[in-house]
Amino acid sequence: MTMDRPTTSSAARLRARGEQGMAMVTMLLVMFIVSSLVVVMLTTQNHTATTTARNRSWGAAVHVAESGIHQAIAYLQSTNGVPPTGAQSGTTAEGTWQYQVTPLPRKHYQIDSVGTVGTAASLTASRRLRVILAPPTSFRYALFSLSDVTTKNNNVVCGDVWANTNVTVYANDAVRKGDSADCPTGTVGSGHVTAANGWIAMEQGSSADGDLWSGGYDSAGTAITIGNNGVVGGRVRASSSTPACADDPLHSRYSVANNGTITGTVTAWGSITGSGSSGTRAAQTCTPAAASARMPVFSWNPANYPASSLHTYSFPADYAQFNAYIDANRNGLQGTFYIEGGSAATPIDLTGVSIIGDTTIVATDAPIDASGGIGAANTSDKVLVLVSYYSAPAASCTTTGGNPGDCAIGFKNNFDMSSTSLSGGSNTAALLFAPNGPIAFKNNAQFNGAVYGNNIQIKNNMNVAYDPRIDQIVGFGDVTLDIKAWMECAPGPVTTAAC
Amino acid sequence: MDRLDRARRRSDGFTLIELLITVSLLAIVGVVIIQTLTTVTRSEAYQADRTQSLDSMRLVLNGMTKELRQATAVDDVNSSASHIVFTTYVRGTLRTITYDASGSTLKRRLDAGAWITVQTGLATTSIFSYQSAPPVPGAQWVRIVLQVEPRRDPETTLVLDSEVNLRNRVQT
Repeated sequence: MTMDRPTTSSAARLRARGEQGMAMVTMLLVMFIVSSLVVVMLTTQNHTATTTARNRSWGAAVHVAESGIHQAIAYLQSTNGVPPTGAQSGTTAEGTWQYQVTPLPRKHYQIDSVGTVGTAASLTASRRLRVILAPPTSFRYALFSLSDVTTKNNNVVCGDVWANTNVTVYANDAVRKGDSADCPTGTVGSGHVTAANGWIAMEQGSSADGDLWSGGYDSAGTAITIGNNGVVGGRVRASSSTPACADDPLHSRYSVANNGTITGTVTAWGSITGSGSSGTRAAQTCTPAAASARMPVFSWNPANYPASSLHTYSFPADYAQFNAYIDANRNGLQGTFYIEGGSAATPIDLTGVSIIGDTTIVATDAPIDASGGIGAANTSDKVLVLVSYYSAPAASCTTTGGNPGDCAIGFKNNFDMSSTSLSGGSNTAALLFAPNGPIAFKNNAQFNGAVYGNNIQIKNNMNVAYDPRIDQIVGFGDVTLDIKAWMECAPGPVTTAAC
Repeated sequence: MDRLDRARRRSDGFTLIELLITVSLLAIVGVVIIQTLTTVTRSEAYQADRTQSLDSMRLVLNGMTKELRQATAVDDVNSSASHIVFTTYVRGTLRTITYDASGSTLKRRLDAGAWITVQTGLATTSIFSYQSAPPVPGAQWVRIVLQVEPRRDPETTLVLDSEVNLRNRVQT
């Protein structure tokens, strides 16, 4: 009897024919294809995941570094500007930061902060930020007045002029933009003249490189007058501070009288008259006037100044003592002087004083005067800040042009600190600040900086150029410190000096 | 007898039907395998190209974001959707940077230096849009939308965008 092997299935038949290798080859091919697909997918996904993670770390690192910056700012504000010693570090949910504060002159600070995110070597990102803190920006104009600005006889203002009421630019006087050939190198400004609620009178031969913008009118209803041969480099606008110009429905006011040359367009709610030339004219066109501006706020805080050079006096008791100090240091004055009290009878007389470094004089009640000039004794970079809260009417200062007791700040004869560049010559920037009284200059006042007063009167040969060194002065502004510059530096330790 | 039958059956050739079926099946399997391999190869190449394009876009976008974040001002007069000029800090020093999109290429220039191509394959030259923060005139935010068509798959458009606040912007 013979036993047959079962041969009913096809597989068995194939095996019986020796063709079983085909299945293996097929399976190997399929596995190769599937594996290839899987490898491609995994490689792509891995690259995508790594790139995304690295990108995320890179983006997060800057925010972590900013955490360090904010920590440093909070520390400085809590200590009124006393920086921590050495590098400080901390963590956030995203990573770690390290910061270091370096004090700079004039209440400026440099904060370096490094943010690091990620632990795996390929996913770690580190970014370094540098922030410069400074007092807030408060001064933008070369001349700023809460009432009028008046110039007379051969004056050049480099920068912008602002008055809440009227501006008179005397015959042949000029308001120049910063890059004008008439201005020191480095001057900032556009040569604009603004009379927020008043009129502008450009007398014959006078010029302004920028725009004229008025918000009021004179007794004849004229908002802007440009005399013979007057030149305006920008546009001219005679606006009304009343919404929709509703205060003058008959267009009888807010006119422009142009007998000079206006490069830009002329827009007036009233008429546009005169024999001068201009760009496109648009009479009886309403434009809103500029809002009245406020004087920057000044807050006295002795901690803002180096204690070693801080002098405090109380007038009239210390008047003789103060004058003795000035006499002894007339040829080399510097430091901070805070004078409480005083009156027109106890003026701060700076006649003949030369400064040799940063000098700040703050008078709560006394006027500041000089007859015979103030100058600088060296060429080092320095700032002169004069603050007087002395109150006097503008009229008392008008005719005498800066005699003691007449003005909050009055300089007569050779207040001279100018040169062909802001950093040249005496290298001094001057800020004169008198919110309650007039500031007057007479005879040869030449300096770089800014003048902010209740009223400004200029007479005889003044050259003033806006100097950006005075835009951020300690004590001025609504906040103690502001970010002046925010920059990202090349990666490195927080102690790296270069950016 | 059975052994003889089995031996005779083993020595028989394939029938024509068997051969046709086998060849057809092999052809089908072969075509499938070749197509699959082609697809895998093409897919790998496409993915590599796409990844490369994305990497390049990320680098460019991150660079532009970093530079614009430190900017002090955008030159509003000379800037447009395809062209931007701004002043910014580069290693702590104020410099002027210009980006210009033309055709399918984005180029960058530092100050008055030479133009350098930073991105190719642009789907559109409309990249930059600007937003001001009244009452201060001029751009305070810049939105960057980078759209690139990968070289191997021009029907696909990759899009990356970023909105940047100018940290050092000041009123002039």
